[in-house]
Amino acid sequence: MKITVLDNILKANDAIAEEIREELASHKVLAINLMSSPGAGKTTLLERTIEKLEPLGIHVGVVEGDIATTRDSDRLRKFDIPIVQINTGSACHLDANMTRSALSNLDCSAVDILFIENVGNLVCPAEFKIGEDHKVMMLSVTEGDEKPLKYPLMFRESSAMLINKIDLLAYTNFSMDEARKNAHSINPKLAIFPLSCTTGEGLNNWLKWMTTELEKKRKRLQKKTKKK
Amino acid sequence: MHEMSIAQSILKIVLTEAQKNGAQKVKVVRIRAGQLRGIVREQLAFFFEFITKDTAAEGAVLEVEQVPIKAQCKPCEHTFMVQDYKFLCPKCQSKDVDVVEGMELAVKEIEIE
Ligand SMILES: Nc1nc2c(ncn2[C@@H]2O[C@H](COP(=O)(O)OP(=O)(O)OP(=O)(O)O)[C@@H](O)[C@H]2O)c(=O)[nH]1
Ligand SMILES: [Mg+2]
Ligand SMILES: [Zn+2]
Repeated sequence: MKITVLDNILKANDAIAEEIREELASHKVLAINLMSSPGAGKTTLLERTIEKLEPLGIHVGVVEGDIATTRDSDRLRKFDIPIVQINTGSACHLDANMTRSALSNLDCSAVDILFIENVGNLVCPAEFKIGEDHKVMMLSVTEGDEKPLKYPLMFRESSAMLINKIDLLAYTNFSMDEARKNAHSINPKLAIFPLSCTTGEGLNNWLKWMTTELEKKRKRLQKKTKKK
Repeated sequence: MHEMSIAQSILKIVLTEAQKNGAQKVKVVRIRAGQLRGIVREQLAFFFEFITKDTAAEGAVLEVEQVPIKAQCKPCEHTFMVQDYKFLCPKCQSKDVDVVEGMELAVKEIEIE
């Protein structure tokens, strides 16, 4: 006997992601799902970003996703900010359920921007919504400029791409033009920010993008509450 | 390796349906996977076989229908197949296009006894 099912496989995950989104909206938090391959520089970016945002009075919270160890969250303990670590065990990505249980241990009431550092991997994290406002991906110049063509979903789903380690450009065959062209053919709306977490070059453009997105979200939420 | 999580979600849906319909055994599971999902069929089948052991879906055949990417141009409404992930309208050259097919990931039907 044939039974027609037509059931979205990711629906259970997406439903939880939606709950997270609402919970974060109630605290007016902008949530960024930060993705890259291992070692592109996500944790270093968070260090640089927190250093710059906290003096501006923009409060940051972090969910650190790693397969094992608390090394990344330990690196961020020097900042006086809310942090929770998720160890995914065997899973190569965060899903909504893990994120929700991590967030139950994080006080969001004083947070403006929440970063969720996903597990280093260019494939799997793109499949699972975790209640973020934006997926932001990082590509480092040592990885090659053809990566958008090999991992299209992540590039298609992201709002912004950070091209990190531009201080190393001279030592690689990475072409900034080629990377832009490849990324924009998959996602013409992608905002692209070349930067170096080591020298600090280009970081301001990224900070500006984020603070603008925070403003936009606040305005949207305000309009919504007015309507009600 | 998101195939493992996806296999688990599939199994959950399949077992729920099987139980609802009083099935003894699930023989075939048909899923639709959009090309943008980047599902590796062999990996998914491998994990599915592994996790269905000792369930009503043990030994079930997993059939994956790959759905190519189709997009619709927003300005001119032309619908076209996307080749090599080039999201560009062949008619008016606009890049402002919506994906209408190729993102799905669904259990389409099952065969039970
Ligand atoms: N030269 C250079 N090195 C960098 C830059 N940013 C980060 N790194 C180095 O790259 C290495 C990896 O950085 P991490 O921040 O740990 O990378 P990650 O993406 O968090 O890594 P995982 O969490 O393990 O996936 C470290 O040795 C950093 O010092 C940069 O802009 N230039
Ligand atoms: Mg890290
Ligand atoms: Zn067109």
